[in-house]
Amino acid sequence: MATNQIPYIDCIKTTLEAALCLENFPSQIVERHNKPEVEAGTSKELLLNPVVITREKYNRKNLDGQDEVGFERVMVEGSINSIRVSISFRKSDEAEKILSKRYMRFLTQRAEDFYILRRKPVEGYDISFLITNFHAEQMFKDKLIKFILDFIQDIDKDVKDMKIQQNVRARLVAKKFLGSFL
Amino acid sequence: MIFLEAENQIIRETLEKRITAEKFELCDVSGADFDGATFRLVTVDDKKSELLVSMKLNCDEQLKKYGMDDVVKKAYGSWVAPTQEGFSVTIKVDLEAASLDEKLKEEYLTKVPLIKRYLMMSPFATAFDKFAASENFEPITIPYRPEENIYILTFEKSLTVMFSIKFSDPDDVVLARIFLSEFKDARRDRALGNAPSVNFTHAAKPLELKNIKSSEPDDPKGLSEFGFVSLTLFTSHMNEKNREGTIDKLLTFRNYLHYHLKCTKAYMHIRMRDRFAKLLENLEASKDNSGIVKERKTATGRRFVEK
Repeated sequence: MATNQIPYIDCIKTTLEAALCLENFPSQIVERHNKPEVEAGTSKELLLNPVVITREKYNRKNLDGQDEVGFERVMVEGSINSIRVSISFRKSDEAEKILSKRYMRFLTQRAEDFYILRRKPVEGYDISFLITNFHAEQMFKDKLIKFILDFIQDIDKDVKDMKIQQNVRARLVAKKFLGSFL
Repeated sequence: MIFLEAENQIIRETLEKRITAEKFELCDVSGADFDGATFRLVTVDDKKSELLVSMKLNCDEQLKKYGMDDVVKKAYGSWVAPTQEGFSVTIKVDLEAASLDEKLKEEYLTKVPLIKRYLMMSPFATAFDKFAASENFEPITIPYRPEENIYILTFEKSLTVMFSIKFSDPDDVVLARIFLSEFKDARRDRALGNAPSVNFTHAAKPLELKNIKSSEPDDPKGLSEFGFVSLTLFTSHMNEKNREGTIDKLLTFRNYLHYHLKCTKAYMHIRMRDRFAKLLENLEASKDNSGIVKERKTATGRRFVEK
């Protein structure tokens, strides 16, 4: 782990530990239903205040040359029987933006296998997880938290690596082509 | 494989198979090449020992203006046959003679698969000749694909070949920018001092095209799908010796670029798949598979017992 990432990851870890305190809670409105309250939002008193953890602000130039501001951040929304974790990755230029977009699309298309993954991210974020009390009962809490933390770091690393790979390939391709002219 | 071949592999393989076959049989093979070119290899009128190779290009009318027929005649000589209907050019391959004469066979196999190059070559050859003789010429436009053009123009004593490339996917624009800016920067490498200089603009027509009628849209929105790549050639690229190689490179440039864009995406996909498998493994590992069921009690200390 990069040193500058430690406080960010630690903060997410502590927040998740606090938020992952779920219990079975049947719907108050529909009998014999059990809905994740963070999604249904049927009652205000069942929801906790969302926590947004921001790592840093970054600027990027878009295709038209204008500056855009982004934040690398995680939002944890808690409720009595479910939590929603939304992640926005660092996208410091257009290349990282499309890499991250493609990556997230790839993963969400496979949400079926990834049972805690939400099919659609929360607005303004790249990817969201929805963890209900049923998931929490099936899984070890600390391992689940570790999974999310690893996920954030792995994807971040992958996107960076792929960008470098892309540039390396581009350079090689350009050199080979231009070098073939006599 | 880094480079795409200039020759057509299907034509080559079919020819080789037909020439070396023990018995000449009826044949009808059609296929497509890059840039919307289509071709057909066919035997006609039960003459099984003669194979007609025809090719159709989108822009044959423009090419004819620059002497396509002459270039083809020069390259293929007596092999040129009356053009079949619906095609730009037809070449006759004498299978029987080729099967007996090893040298002729080799000649057929090297020249015929390159048919697309010979068809497309005329405007380049014309421009190179005129440039070498320092004659001025009108900018040449080759509409080699429905919406994309190649321009050949002289600009301040240099010869520039410009490609307009359409990117239908906005993501491709970003990728192509990375690739093409590397093309631009690669020339800083001393070893590549001989290479043509490359320039790239996106979503804006280069000044060189200001006075030329071009099919690309003028409005910023339509233009945002287009990239313009210009390669400025040196005289050493255009001399008789290197000319054919240069034209091959130029003609495959667009395909080369797109091919590598796709390779990049495929590579990304492989990595994502890898990562997905690992993530799934991690998630499975966090599941509680111990099978130990915790005993649950109510607040008063009663417990649920299955009966």
